[in-house]
Amino acid sequence: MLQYILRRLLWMIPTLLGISIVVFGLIHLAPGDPAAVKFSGMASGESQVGANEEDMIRKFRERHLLDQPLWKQYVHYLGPFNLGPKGHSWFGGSGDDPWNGILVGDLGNEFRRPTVEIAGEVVQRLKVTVPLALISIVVSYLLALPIGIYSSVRRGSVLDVTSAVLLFLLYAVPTFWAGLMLQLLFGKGMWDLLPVLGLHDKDADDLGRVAYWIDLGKHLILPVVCYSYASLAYLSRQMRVGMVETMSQDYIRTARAKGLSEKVVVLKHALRNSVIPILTLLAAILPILVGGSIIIESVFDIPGMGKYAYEGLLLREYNVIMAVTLISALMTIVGILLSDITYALVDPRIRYD
Amino acid sequence: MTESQGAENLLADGVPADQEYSKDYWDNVFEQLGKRPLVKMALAVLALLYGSGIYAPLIANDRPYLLEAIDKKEYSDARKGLAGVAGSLSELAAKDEATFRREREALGVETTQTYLEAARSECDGMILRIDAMLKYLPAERHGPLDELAADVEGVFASLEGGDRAAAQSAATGVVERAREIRSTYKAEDVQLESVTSLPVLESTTTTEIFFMVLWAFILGWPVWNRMVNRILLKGDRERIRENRKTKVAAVLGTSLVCAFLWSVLVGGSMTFETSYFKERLTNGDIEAERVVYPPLRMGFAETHMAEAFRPPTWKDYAEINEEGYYVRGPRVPEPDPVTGHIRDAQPVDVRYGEPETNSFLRHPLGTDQMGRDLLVRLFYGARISLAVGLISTVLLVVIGVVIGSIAGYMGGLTDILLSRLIEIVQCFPAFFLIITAVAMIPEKTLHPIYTIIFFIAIVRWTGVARLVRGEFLRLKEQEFAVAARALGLSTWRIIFRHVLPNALGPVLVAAAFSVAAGILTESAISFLGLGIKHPIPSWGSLINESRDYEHWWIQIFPGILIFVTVFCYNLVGEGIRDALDPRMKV
Amino acid sequence: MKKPAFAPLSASLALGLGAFLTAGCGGSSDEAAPKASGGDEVAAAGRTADEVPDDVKPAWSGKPDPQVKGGPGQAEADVFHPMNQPDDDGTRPPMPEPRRGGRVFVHLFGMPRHFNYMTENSAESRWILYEVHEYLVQRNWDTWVHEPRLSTDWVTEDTLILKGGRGDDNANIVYGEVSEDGDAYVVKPLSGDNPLEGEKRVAKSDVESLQKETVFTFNLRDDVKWQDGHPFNAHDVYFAWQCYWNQTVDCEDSRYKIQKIVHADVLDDHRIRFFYGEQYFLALDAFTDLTVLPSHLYNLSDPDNPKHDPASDVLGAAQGEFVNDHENNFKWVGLGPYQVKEVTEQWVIAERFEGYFDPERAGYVDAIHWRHIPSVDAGKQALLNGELDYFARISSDDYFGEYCQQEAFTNTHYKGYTYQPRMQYIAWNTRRPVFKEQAVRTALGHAMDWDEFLSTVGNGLGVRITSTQFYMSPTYDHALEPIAFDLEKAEEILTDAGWYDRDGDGIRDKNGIPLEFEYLMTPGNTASQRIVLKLQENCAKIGIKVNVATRDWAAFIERAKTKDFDAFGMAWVLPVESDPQQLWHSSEGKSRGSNYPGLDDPEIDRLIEAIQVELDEERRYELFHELQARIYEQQPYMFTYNVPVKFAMNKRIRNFKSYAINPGYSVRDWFIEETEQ
Repeated sequence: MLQYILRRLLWMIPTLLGISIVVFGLIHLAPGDPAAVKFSGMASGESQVGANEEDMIRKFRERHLLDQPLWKQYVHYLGPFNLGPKGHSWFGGSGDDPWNGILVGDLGNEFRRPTVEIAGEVVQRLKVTVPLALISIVVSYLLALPIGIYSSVRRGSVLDVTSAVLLFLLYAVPTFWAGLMLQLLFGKGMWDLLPVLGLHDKDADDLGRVAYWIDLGKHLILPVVCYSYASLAYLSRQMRVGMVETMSQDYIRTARAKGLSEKVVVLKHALRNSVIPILTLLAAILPILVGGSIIIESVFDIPGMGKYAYEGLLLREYNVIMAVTLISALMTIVGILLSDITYALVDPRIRYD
Repeated sequence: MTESQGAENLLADGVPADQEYSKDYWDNVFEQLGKRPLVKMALAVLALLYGSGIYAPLIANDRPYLLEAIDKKEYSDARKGLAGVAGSLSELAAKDEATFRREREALGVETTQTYLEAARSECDGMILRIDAMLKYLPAERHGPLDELAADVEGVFASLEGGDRAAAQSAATGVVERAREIRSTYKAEDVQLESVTSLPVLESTTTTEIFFMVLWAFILGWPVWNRMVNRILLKGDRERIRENRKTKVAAVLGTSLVCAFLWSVLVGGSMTFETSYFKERLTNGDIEAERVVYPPLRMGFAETHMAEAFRPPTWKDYAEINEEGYYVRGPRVPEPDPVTGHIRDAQPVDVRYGEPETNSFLRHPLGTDQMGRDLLVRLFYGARISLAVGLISTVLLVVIGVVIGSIAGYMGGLTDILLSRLIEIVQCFPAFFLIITAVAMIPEKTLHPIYTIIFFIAIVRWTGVARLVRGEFLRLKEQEFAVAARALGLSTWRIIFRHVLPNALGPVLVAAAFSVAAGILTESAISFLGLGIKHPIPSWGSLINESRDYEHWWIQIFPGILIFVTVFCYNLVGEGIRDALDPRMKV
Repeated sequence: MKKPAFAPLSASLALGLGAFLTAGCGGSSDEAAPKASGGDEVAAAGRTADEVPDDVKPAWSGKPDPQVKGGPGQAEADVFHPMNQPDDDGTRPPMPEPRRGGRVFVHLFGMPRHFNYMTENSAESRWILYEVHEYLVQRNWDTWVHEPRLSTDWVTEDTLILKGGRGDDNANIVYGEVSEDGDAYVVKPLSGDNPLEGEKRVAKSDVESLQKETVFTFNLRDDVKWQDGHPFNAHDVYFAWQCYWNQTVDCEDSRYKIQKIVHADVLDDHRIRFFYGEQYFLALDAFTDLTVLPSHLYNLSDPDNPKHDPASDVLGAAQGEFVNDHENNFKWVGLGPYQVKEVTEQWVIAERFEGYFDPERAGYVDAIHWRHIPSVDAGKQALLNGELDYFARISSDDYFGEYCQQEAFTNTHYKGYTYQPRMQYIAWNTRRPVFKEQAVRTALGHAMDWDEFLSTVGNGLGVRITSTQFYMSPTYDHALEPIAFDLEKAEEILTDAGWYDRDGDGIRDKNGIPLEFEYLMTPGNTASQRIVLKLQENCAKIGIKVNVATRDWAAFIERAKTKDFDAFGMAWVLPVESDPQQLWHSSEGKSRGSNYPGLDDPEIDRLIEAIQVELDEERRYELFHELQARIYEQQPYMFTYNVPVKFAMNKRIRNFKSYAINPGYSVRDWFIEETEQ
C-alpha cells in the first residue's frame, strides 16, 4: 500500500510536467501576449493611442524573456534557473530574486500588476471558492443520502418515481442556464426575492454581525443551488443503486432473519456499506473545491478561483493560467489517489501492489 | 467456439434464451431497448431534432422553393454592365504584356494573374452578362447577343494566338456592339420572359444532401427495415443478422451516391449567394408569376432592424399597429421627460411573402437584437450544437477504443505506458483546458467549432479507453479469443474483428452520455462568448445574445432545447445500459 | 428649459450607447481612450469664460446643436433629476443646501493596473486621479479655460532661439514677451526670474527662430501637502518631469508629449519654469498630463526617501524601474481631496483627505467607492440592487425600454444622457489590395444605412460625423455632408472602377482579386455585432463578401496594432480639441502607430504639422476644416457616429453635472441629500 502511494506520488511529477508542457504550448499559440495586453489599455477595456508603445512592449518582452524560444521560457518558468537579464522576471515580477520558479513552489506574479503575487491572489480566491463549494457539497450530500435511502427502501412508490424523474430531469439542466433562470426568477425583474450577484451587499461592512451573515447567506443561496443540483441528482441516484444492491446481499437477509427492525437493518447495516462508494466520490470533488466553477462564478459574479482563471485567460496572464491548471491538476491527482486509498481502506479485497 | 457464442457468455447470466431463434448480443440489446417506451421516445425526439437541423434550409429560408419570375434588376444590370466590360476588354487588348505587367506593379497589387488570364476573365465577364440577358430574352431576340458572344471569343482567340492587332480591332467591334445592345435592349423595349428557378435547392450543398438522405433513411428505418426483412430476407433471422452490415453500407452508399449525383448535376459547391429575393420581390425588381415559399419564410441571417428584440408574437405587448409601431408596453415611443427627445423608431415592414406583423407565425419565439427570427435560428443552431456533440463523441470513441484495445490486448510495457498516458490525461482540468484552447488557438489555425470538437475528444477519451481496456483484459482470455489466436489470426484482426465487437456495449453507453456532455460543454463555452461566433448560431451562443430578463425568450427557448437534447441522450444512455445488463435495472 | 416633445423623427440621427457597451466577458471594448493628443481632456483652446456668459449657456436641448459652442455636455446641474424639473413657468425648485458626508458608489468598467498615470495610461486611472490627485494646470470643465491648481498662477513668455540653436544648457535663448520692431525683436521680460533686466532688442539676423508661448513659469501653492503629510514643492514637479526623460520609465504613451518640454528650472521651492522646444497649440495641456510624483517616495536621490541612495542617477535604469514597480503606484499617495484607502480587483475605495488645500474644491461626499464590474449585464443588475449610484453604460434599448421603466429602477434612480467627444468608426486597411482604391472605400461608405441604424439601434439619439474631431468643437466642420446610404450608387462606383463579377461567383473582382474582406470584431460587443451584420447583408447585395472574425480583445488589439487586418470597428474617446498627428500622420501608419488605415498623404502631413504650431485659433480652425475635408474625401475610415453616453444616477445624489470632458462628471460636485443619508 505504502509502496503504491509512493509510486503514485512519484508519477505525479511526470503528470504535472506533461500537463504544464501542454498548457504552456497552448497558451503560446495565440496572438497577443501579456505585453501586448498590458500596454493596450486592456485594463480599462479601452484602447490607448500610444505613440511609442512599441518600445515599451519590446522592453517588456525582453525583460520577461517573452522574445526567447519557447523551451527557454518553459525551463525558466520551471526555475530555479536564472536566464533573464535581470533575474527571474519571466514571472511578471521585478526579477529581484533570481532563483524563483515553479519547482521551488513560486507561482510567480501577474504581468499586468507586477506587485501582485499569484500565490497570494489564489489564497484570496480560495477563501471564496472553498467555502462555497464546501457548503454545496454538504448540502447535496445531506439531501442525497435521505433521498437515496428513502427511494431504495420504498422502491416503486410514488415518491420514489417522482423524485427519480425529477432528479433525472435536473441532471440534464445546463448549469449556466439554471443560473440564468434562477437570476431571472429571483431577481428584480420577476419575484425580487434574492440578490442575484456577488457575495455581499454594498453596505455589508456597516451591518451588524448577524445581519452581515444573513446578507451573505442570502447571496449564497442561488450559487449553492446551482452548484449542488446536478451533484445532488447524481449522488442520490448512486446512493439508491448502492442501497438496492446492498439490500439484496445475504447479510441483510440474515439481519432481517434475526428479526431486527427494518429501521435498524436499513440505517445500521445497509447504509454503512452503501454509503462508502458515495463517500469516495468526495475525492473526485476535490478539484472542483479549489478550481471553482468558471460558469457559476461568471454568472453570479463571484470573485473565486473560476473567475480568476477565466479573467487570466482573457488577459493572457500566462502565470495565472499555468497556476490554475497546475493546482487543479494536482488536486485531481490527489483526489484520485485519495479515492483509491479510501477504497482500499474500506474494502479489504482491494489491494494495490 | 464462435464469436457470437463468446458474446452470449457476456449476457448469459439470468437471460433466458428465446427458444424461437438464437439471439446474439445485438438482438438482445435491441429487444431490451424495444421494451422501453421512454427510450424509444427519446430516440424519436433526437431524430426530430437532428432532422430539424439537417432540413433547416427546407423548413426555414428567405429564399423561395420555386420562383417563376423576371428579375428585371439582374437583366438590366447585365445590360448596363455590358459596355463597361467590353471597354475594359478593349483597353486590355490595346496594351501589350509588358505594359500590363508594369501597370500592375505600379498599382502594388499582389496578383498572380497573367495577361492572358486577365483577358480571359474579362471575356468571362462578358459571357456572364450575355448569358444573364439571354436567360430572360425570347429566342427571336437572341441573335445579336449570340453574335456578340462569338465576337468576344474571337477577341480572346486572337489574343491567345498572339495577334494583337486583330484582337484590338475585334475588341473595338465588341465595344460598339455592346453599346448598341445597351441602348436597344432596354427592359421596357423588349418582351422579357420569366424564368423558373429553385433557389433553395440551388443553394443546397453536397454535404447537406448527404445528411438529408441519410436522415431520411434513419427516420424511415422502422418501415423500410421491416419491409426489407420481410420481403427480401424472408424473415430469416440468420439472414437478417448477416445482412446487418449490408444494410448499413447500403444506406451510407445511397446517401453518398445521392450526394455525388447532386454535386455533378447541380454543382453542389455553395457559391457566394446573396439572398436578395425578398427585397427585390418587395420593391418590384422581380416580377413574379409564381413564388412558393418554405413554411417559415425568414432566413437565419436575415435582419429586421425595426423588429429587434420583438417578443414572441403571441404576447400581447408584441402587438404592432398598422403604422408599424408598438402599441403596448414599454416599447411605445414616448418623449423623454426632460429633453423631450422622442424615442425614434422605424416602422416594422412586412416583406414579400412574410406573415403579417401580428400573425402568430411571424415570430413565434420572438427575435434577437437584429430582429432575426429566433425560431429559425434555433433550427440552424441545431446543426452546430448537435454536430459538435456527435462528432466529438465519434472522435473520442475512436481514440479511446484504439488506445484502450491496444493497451488491453497487448499488455506488458505497452499497457503500462498507455495506462500512464490515460492517467496523465485524466488529470487535465478538462473544461478549463478546452476553454483555454478555444481562447488561445487562432481562428485561422483551427475554427473554434473544430477546436471544441478536437479538445473535447482529446480530454475525454480516457473513460472509453479504460472501459475498453478493462473489457479486453477480461475478454482476451476467453475461449473465443484464445481460439482465434490459435488459428493464427493476426493481432489486429483479433482485436478489431473478434474482441472489439464484444466490448462495444459499454462503449455505446459511454458514447451516449458523452454526446450529452459534449453538447453541454459546447453550449457553456458559447455562452461564455468564447466558442461559436457570429453569424452562425449555436444554442449556447444564442443564449449569450442577451442576458436581460426583459428578453426572456432569448434565454428560455434555446435553453429548453439544450435541456431536452441532453435529457434524451441521458435517457438513451441509461436505456442502453439497462438493455446491456438487465440485472442492473433498478 | 423643456423643449417641445416632438422633434421630427427624421432629424434625429443617432445611435445608442449600446455602441459603447461591450458586455464581453473579457471586459473587452471597442472603445479607445485618448492619448491621441494632448491628453484626454483638451477643450477648445483659448476660449475664455466671459465668452460664454452664464445666461447664454446652452439650454439643454437633448440634441447636440452644432451652432451652440460649448457643447452639449455642459448641462446645468441636476438637469435630469426628477426633483429638479421646472414647473409650468419654467422655474426650477431651489437646489438643497449642499452638505458634507456620505459615500457614493461609482461604476468602473475596467480596473486600471494602478493609478500612476505616468505609467498606466488608462482612462480609468485618470478618472480616479481626478479625485485623488491634482495637476499643475487643469481646464475648468465648465468653461474649458485653463486654471491653476497646484499653482497660484503662471506667466507665459515667448522664446527667441539665437543662431546656433538652443544649446545644451538652454543658454542660447532669450525669452520674454516678444514683439517685432522693424528688423529686430523686442523682448520684454514678464516673469520674475527672467535673466533679462529690462527690454532687449535682438536683431532678426541673430535669431534662428521665434517660438511663441513656449516658456511657462509657475508659482506653486505653498499650502499643499501630500497625503502622507509631506509638504509639496517644486522638486516634486521637477522630478516628475525628469521621469519622463528616463528611458527606463514605462511612460512611452505620454513621453513624446512631455518631451516637447525640453528644459526645466527649479527657481526656488515654489517656483518652477518649463521651456518648450517649439510652439505647440496644446502646450498648456501637457501640464495636465504631467503626473506629479512625490519625490520623497519615488526619487532615490531624494534624501527624504527612506530608500535614499546617494549614488542613484535620476535618469538611470535603477530609478526607472523603481518608478515602474513602485508600491505607491498602487497605494497612491496623491494631492487630491480623496485618498486611496483600499484597492482590490473588485473596488477602489477613496476617503476624504483632511489636509486638502482648497476647501472650494474639496468635494462633499466623504468617500468614493469605485466598483469594478466588467460586465454590462452584471452592472445593470448591481444598479437595480442599489449597489451602484452612477452607471454610465446604459444601452439605448434599456434607456428607452423596460429596464429604465421598471419600478426597481425608477424608485431609486433617474436616467439621463450627455454627448461626449467620442466617435465610432470602421477602419479600412489601405495597405490591402481591396482597400487600396478610394473607389472601394467610398462605395462601402454608401453601403451602410447609418440613419436607419441610429434610428433603430440608437432610438434616435446620436449624430453622424465626418471627422475624428469632436462634433461640438470649433475644429469640426459641419459643412461637410456625411455620405448617404445608396446601394445603387455604390454599385455604380464599383463597376466604374472596374470591380465587377467576372467569374460568376457573385463576388465582384478585379485583377484576379475578389472583393472580399475580413471584418474584425470583439465578442460581446452588441453594437459592433449589429453593425457588421447589417454591413454584411448590404455588402452581399452589391457583391462584396464580408467575413466576420471575432477575436478577444488581446488578439484583436494585437492585430490592429500590427496592421494585420482588413477592417475593424472601434471607437476613439478624444479630447475636445485633439492633435490629429497620432491618428492621421503618415509616420503613425508604421510600426504600432494609431494610423490604422495607413493613410499616407503628404498634404495631410503638411496640414497636421501646420496645425501643431498654429497658435491663432481662427487660422487653426480653418486648417482643421481643410484637414477634415481632405481626410473625409479619402475615406480611410467609414466615419460613423457619435452617440451620447446614457447614465443612471441615484436620486439621493444632487448637484450632478455633466461635462463634455471624459468621464463626463466630477464626483467633487456631488452631495447627498440629508433626508436620504
